[in-house]
Order: sequence, then structure tokens, then C-alpha cells
Amino acid sequence: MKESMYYETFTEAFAYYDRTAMKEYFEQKALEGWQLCRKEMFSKWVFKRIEPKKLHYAITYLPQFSNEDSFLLSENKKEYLEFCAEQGWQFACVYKNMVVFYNEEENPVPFETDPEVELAAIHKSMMKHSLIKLTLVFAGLAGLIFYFFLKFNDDPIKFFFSISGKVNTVILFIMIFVCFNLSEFISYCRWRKKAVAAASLGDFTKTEFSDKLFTAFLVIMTVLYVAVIFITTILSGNLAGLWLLGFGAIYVFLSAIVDNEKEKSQGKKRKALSILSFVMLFVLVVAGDIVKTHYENSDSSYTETYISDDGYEQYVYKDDIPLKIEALGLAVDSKQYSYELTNRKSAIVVITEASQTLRTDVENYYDLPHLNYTVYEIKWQFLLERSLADILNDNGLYGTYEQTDETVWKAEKAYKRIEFGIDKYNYLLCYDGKLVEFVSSWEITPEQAAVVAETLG
Amino acid sequence: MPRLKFQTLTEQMFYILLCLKEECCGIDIMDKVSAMTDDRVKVGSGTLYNLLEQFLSAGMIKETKAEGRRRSYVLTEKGREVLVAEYQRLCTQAEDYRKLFAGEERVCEENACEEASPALGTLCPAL
Repeated sequence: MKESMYYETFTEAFAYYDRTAMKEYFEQKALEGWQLCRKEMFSKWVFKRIEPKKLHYAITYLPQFSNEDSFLLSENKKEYLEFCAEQGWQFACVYKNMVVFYNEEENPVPFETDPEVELAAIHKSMMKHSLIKLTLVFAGLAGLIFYFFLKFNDDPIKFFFSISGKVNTVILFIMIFVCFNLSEFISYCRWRKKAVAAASLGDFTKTEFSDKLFTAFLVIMTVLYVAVIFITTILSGNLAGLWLLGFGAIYVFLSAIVDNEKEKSQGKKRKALSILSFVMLFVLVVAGDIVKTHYENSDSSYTETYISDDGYEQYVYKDDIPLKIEALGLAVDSKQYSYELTNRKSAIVVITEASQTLRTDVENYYDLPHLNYTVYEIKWQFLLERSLADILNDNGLYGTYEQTDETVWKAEKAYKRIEFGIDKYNYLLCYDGKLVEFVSSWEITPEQAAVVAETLG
Repeated sequence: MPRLKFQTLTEQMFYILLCLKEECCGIDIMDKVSAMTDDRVKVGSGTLYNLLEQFLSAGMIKETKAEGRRRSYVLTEKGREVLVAEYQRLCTQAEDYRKLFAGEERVCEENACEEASPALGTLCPAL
């Protein structure tokens, strides 16, 4: 076959320390007429066309270099390569601090002749390689846990409604990254134990990577993922989690197909699984947001629209809200009002938000009454007390809540909001398992307070 | 028990240091070691480069000159001490061996190993 200078890229994933598998792969490729030129991202190796021949390959680790540039630009690089060329070892490529050589001699002096020296170099390189990745994983995880803590601390009720989407993303991130990198690290530690023992006797040990370990991690992570989806779905009441579970099942099914492909090499399978994982992550995050938004949309729908004086489109709702101004004994024209109701439910909290507000195109807008209220039904006592404390402590700059006569409201506790010394007719009422924020545009009479207590308490 | 760094030397470490008793270019060390040991000990390029860097860091050798990209090295006082210590360790081992097998070795020599002690077994090849 006439030698021609053209290039081809092959994809083959190896564990960073797995020099044996890399050597065997490159030597096989040489027999097929391909000589290694360079390494690119995502497990891609670029080869150039040669006459098929037997080449010996050697992979060495230079931990003193942190990346390709630091090696290629180093002052000693040329001396080092000349050094190696003395015994016929020619430079093929460099990747991070791993350098690949090839030799055309029939029986070359091995590149590494002292197993202890080689092991020390591999260990330093591997520590740099793995520690960086694992540090990123655990730092990211710690950051997310801290973020969740801050969110919970800020508004525990809202946190439980939004938990599903956040946790799903976190779990997927961990699943993909940890599976690959942790299994590589653990495989390395296992191999190193054997290699150190052999090196003390002057023997080299072939490197090993455990695909079974990787599969085991994947299974554990998948089971964890399914469990977390169920738990967060129950906690948040957000059925989006179940839809995402369906995607997860598809992912596992496709992963199993890829893994069972008998004709493909382990490196190609890992590569295929990586691509599948990233695609599924993207789909899950995007689809999850779409589905989540659907389920969190208000139950209400407007019945008409009109254009306000300032040119904006306004919506009019006619939902059946639990408590209307009419029920409090005030005569109003319902046509002048919008009645809006929003419900959000989960296993822990049910939030009902309702309002009876005037259309902005009504005459005497400022003289007519309006009201709005939010009822929090909280099943966990500690969460109720925590939410009460948060509301009482919030917005300290604009006003405060002062305790008021709870007997009027037939409540366990009652507070009214005072802003800049002015009573805002804004009440916070505590009932058994409930918090009610009640805002009216007029001063509530005791009789009206009793109706509020009976309806909302 | 893991060996402390350079507390004992591998054969390759030993012969590299031996070569640097006199100033020698790094590249020539590989041939010198081969010649010195009649090809019994061979030092790979990767191993030699790593060890020279380690010896330099440990202060056991020093760079004497650089002609273009060829650097030359020579033993330092510390390197000599390490080499001497290793030599003495090997001599001690050899001496311990002689103490144990000296009597049996003489018998072996006299009887040309045909009536060698069974305890020697393959330790006493035919002379």
C-alpha cells in the first residue's frame, strides 16, 4: 500500500492511568496502518496513514508538567526527546502530563525499566488528574447543599414547592460525573496496591480498569435517582418528577442496550454512555422545566380582558374564591370585580391565594372595598412556627407586625401590620395548622372578623 | 515494608550513580551501564530521565555543563555517601552469605559439587 499522508480520528476512551490498554490499542492500530499523531478532547485520537507495521508504544507520565503546553514549551523538552531518541523512542503525542512514544526497532530497550520509578510518576500524575475532578464534584455538591440550605432558610414553604427541579438536576449531575470519575479512581487504587507489591520485587504490573465497578455505580445512582424522584414528588406535590422518572427509565434502558453491545470495545461503550448521559441530562433539564411550569400554572383562567387607562391589557377572573366581600356584609357590584384563586398543593403545604380586586376602569375606584388573602395549611408544626417567625421578622424596614387581640379573630395568635405608623389592615392570623395573611382596604369589624375566622380559619 | 527514598538503591540507581563518578553526559549513561554490566542491566530512557531529575533534586548529582541540549552530570559528596552506603550494605549482605555458606562452599570446591551438601541445593551451581 502506498504511504499517503492523510489522517483519521478514532474514538476510544481509556482510564487515565491505563497504559496497558492504550499501548495495546496503539500497537494494534499500527498493524492496521495507523500511527498516532495527537490526542483531542472527548477520547479522540488522531492517527496518520502509514504502511502497516509493528510498532512498540510506551506511555510515560511526567507529573512535573501540568498540561500539554507546559511540556511543549519547556526548556528541557528537546533534550528529553533527544534522550529518548537515543534508544529509538520517537515522540507521538502529549495529553495533559502523559506522553506517548513509539519505537520502530524490533526489540527496543523498554522505555521504563524500573517499576518503582514508573509507579511513583503514575501516582503523582493520577493524584493531580483525579483530585482535580473529584474536588470539583464535591465542591459543586457542597455548594448546592449550601444553596439549598440558604433557600430553605429564606422561605421554607416556597423551598418545598421548588425542590423537585433542583434536586433532579443535582442528582443527574452527580450520577454522570461521579460514575465515571469515581470508578476510575477506585479502579486505580485497587491496581496500585497490586502494582506496588510487584514493584518492590522488581516486576511491572499490567494496568486494569473495572467496567463492572462503573456499571455498579451506575445502577446504584439510578436506584437513588428513582427514590429521590418519588420522595420529592410527594413532598412538593409536583407531578413533574414522575414525568422525569419516565425519562430516567428510558436512559437506563438505552444504557443497558449500549452496555450489552458485544462487538464494541469497552472504550467505545464508555464513550457512547457519556454522550447518552449528556443528551439525557439536557433533555431532562429542558423537559423538566416545561413540565414543571405546566403543573405550577394557576388553576384560574380569565373570562375577559380590557385595556386600562395606562394602555395595558388587564384580565378579569371569575373564580369561586372561599371568602368574598359580599359574605362580610358589604353590598358590592360583582361585575366591577375580578375574583382570582390560585391553589398549590404538596404533601406538606397547601397554599390558597385569593383576591377580590376592582377593575381599574371603575368609577370611584378608591372608594370601593377590595381584599386579598393567603391561607397556608402546614402539616408540620415546626414548619408552621418557622414560617410565622419568618413573616414576623420580614420587611423590618417598611413596617412591623404587632400582636393584636386574637379573640376577635377566634385565632390562637393574631398580628396586625403597621407601616410608618399607619394601620394597613393587614393581618397575620394563626389557627390550628394554618397561617392566614388577610389584607382588606377597610377596617374589619368584629362581626366581619368572626366570618373570616369561620371561613378561612 | 516500603523502602525510604534512596535509603537502598535499585540496580539501575546504583549503576547510574556509579557512571557519574566522573563527569558524564546523560545520554551516554545508558551505554555505559550496559557496557559495565555486560548488558545485564539496561536503563530505559524514561527511567534514566526520571532518576537524573530525582538525583538532582536530592542533591546527589550536579549538572556540570550543557553543550547545546546535552547536559553533563557528576556525583556530589552526598551522592558519593549514598553510593558508599549502598556498597557497604551489599558487602555486608555478601559477608553474611559467606559466613553462612563458607564451609559448604569449600566442600563444594573440593568435590566439584558432586558431593555438595543437600542444603546447598541449587545455590551451589557446578563450578
